[in-house]
Amino acid sequence: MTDLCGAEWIKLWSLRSTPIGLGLAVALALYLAGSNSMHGTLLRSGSMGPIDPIRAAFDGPSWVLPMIGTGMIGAQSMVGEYASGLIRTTLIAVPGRRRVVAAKVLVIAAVMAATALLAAVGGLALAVATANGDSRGRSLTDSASASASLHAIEASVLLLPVCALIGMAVGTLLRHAAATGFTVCALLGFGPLLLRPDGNRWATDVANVMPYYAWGRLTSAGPGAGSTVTAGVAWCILAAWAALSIVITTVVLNRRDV
Amino acid sequence: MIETRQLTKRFGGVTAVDDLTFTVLPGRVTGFLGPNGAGKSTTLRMVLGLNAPTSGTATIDGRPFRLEGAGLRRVGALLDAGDVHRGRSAQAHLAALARSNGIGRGRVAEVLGEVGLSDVARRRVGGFSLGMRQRLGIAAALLGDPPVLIFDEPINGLDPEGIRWARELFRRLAADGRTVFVSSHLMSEVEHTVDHLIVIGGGRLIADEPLGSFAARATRHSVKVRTDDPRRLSAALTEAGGEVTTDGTGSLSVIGLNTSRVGEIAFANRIMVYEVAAESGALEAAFMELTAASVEFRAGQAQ
Amino acid sequence: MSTPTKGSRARFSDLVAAEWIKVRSLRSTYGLMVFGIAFAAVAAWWLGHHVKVAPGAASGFNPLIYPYNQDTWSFITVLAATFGALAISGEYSSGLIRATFIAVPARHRVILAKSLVVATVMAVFGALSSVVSMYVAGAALSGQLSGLSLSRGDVLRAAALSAALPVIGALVGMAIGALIRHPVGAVSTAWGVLVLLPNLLGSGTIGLGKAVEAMPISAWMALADTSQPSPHSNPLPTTVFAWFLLASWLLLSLATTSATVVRRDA
Repeated sequence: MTDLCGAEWIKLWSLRSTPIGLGLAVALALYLAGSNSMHGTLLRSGSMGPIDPIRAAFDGPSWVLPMIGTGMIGAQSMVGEYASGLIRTTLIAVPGRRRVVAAKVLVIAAVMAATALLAAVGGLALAVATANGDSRGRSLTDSASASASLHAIEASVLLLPVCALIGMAVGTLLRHAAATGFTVCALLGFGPLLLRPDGNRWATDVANVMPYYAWGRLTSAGPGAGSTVTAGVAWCILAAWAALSIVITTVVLNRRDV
Repeated sequence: MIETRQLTKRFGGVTAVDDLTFTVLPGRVTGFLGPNGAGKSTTLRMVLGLNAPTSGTATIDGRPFRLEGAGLRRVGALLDAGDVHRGRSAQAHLAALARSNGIGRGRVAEVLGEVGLSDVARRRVGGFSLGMRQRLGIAAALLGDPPVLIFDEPINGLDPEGIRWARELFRRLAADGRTVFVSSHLMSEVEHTVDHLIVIGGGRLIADEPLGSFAARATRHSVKVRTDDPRRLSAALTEAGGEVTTDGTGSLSVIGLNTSRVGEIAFANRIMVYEVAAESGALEAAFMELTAASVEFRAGQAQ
Repeated sequence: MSTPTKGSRARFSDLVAAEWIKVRSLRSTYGLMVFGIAFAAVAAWWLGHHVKVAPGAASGFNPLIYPYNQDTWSFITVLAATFGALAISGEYSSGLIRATFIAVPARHRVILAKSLVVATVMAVFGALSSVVSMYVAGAALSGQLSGLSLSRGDVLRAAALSAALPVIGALVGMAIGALIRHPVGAVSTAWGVLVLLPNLLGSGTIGLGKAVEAMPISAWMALADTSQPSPHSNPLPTTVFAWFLLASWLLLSLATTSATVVRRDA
């Protein structure tokens, strides 16, 4: 299995798009964390006010782009093989399809988790450092803030791998590069925009199931704050997305002719 | 007529084509040979206006191809059989190309018939075999009935019947007075099809001459002899100055003596021979020798 | 053997016809259009069905925001951009672009013909989506002060502008496809540029609403009167500026596509 993982690691990093995509994701998250913290937030009064560092670093719209980026990388790991015909070489070299999927999942999840860690911790540090106004005096050492920060970081470390796995599942299902790209963007980026947890009961239920809002609940500062979903349920939701994606990828790849 | 003058193309630090000057004349089939990575495809792309040269010019009938309004009636080209969208049918693919040059639908049916794809015209190209895609590419080149034809590895993937058909097609096109420029690696095919050769290596011109004189450049012609007394004959031939190798089945391969000389030596020593033939492969030998210095990708070598 | 006269050109109408053959012979063209129209219809029905209008707010009620909802039509715009992007990047990734440019070396003419066909197909798509949306929303809204019918001037204007929006989206997509020849990259960039980035910039935390103002969707909202009242609305361009924006997006995209394709090696 380690050999398979090693092979998938090489495949992942030998694509130019991987370091570019991940680099951009981290850079964007960091930049936006710092910038949010510096500028504060738009208050109802119309002016800008100070912003909590956790909120600055884990702002929902800022993280949409890293979500899409990792979703694409996950998608590319499957779609790229189909599009280039590499899938045939891979499956001849390793006929055990489930093991191939398992290796891909492990490698990609690990890399995305590491990226998320970098973006989350870095973003938080940057947000604290660049906080304006009176929030500068506010450090994150008191227990409430510390545990909230920890939860936010944990949630983000789970979020990006989940997005990548969703991308993998979509890529395996659709096999077509452009269609996959479009669908991943729609699901991860546009879905949250379209289905906001507003007053409507049905829409709220659906919206809360989306990874974006589940994550938002866990960072307890972004969208979804004060929602009807408990933290425990939110964790389950993210885990369920991961599990569902892995199942879809495995089953579809196993059954289909290549 | 295709002409290049001091054609050069650099990609970053790599010089793919270096000061290439040659002319391809009409009325004969001209072969374009070179080891892998010699710059053949790059040269063809510059001739067809797809890549811009770093310096120098490439013209077709005196004009750079980029300036043409309608290309199919001037040049028919097959560069890569894969240059098709896999979701379209063969018919739709050719229809679009034909229409873009104002060529009628009837012509599409004609060329499909000529290459033998009429039965599968409505099938998706994605389901085609390699040979079928090659035929489709050749069909596309024929659409405009052009005076200049350029083929890059056209017989790749064709079965023996297809190879013979392609060979006759190229000869027929050349006999019509067209310029036919064929790039290939298959030496045995080139020998049968081509009249004139242009050989490049490492981006530079190595030869621009008729097939016969190029093949004659091979310094190591070999003669194959079949005899029932190989030992004695081998000794006699070696004494006469030949270099003899045997493949163990009674056949000898002699280098340095021509067929007449071998026959004389056998007769003088009263040795029975059943076959004395000049081994074809002179072209291959000449090619290998002359391009040896510029081969980029050599198999079986420890670095 | 052909003996073409010196300097003969393919007629432009032939180029257009060839591009049309390319577009209509792909199943994905129809799939994309059907999907888009269905999406618009479902969204229009959903939104129309779930409208709650307080009695006092009847006078401020704008029925246009239901069939011509901002989010729905952002999606349609990106769908159109994907179509446009694929028209170019699809040819590059399959290698067909080489055959195309050998057949017609005058690249700018090919791009012009392609743009015309793409624009026309997208105009039809836009018109269908627009009209379907309007009728579906009208049906869903009925009994709630709908008044949506094409005989009304402002409704006609909104419908026409919504039909035109995918055309602009597709041309922007073509420019993106020419710049980023990789299909997946082109699609993600289309999403990013047209929807995600503006949303991000216009969100409460960043507050760069000015940038959002320049987006095609903002111009559309201004001209068609389809902006939704909300506390965090981004500024809309004035009418004159909005027309200017739409025209600029159109021309700039066309110029970018042409220039990029002509300059680059195929």
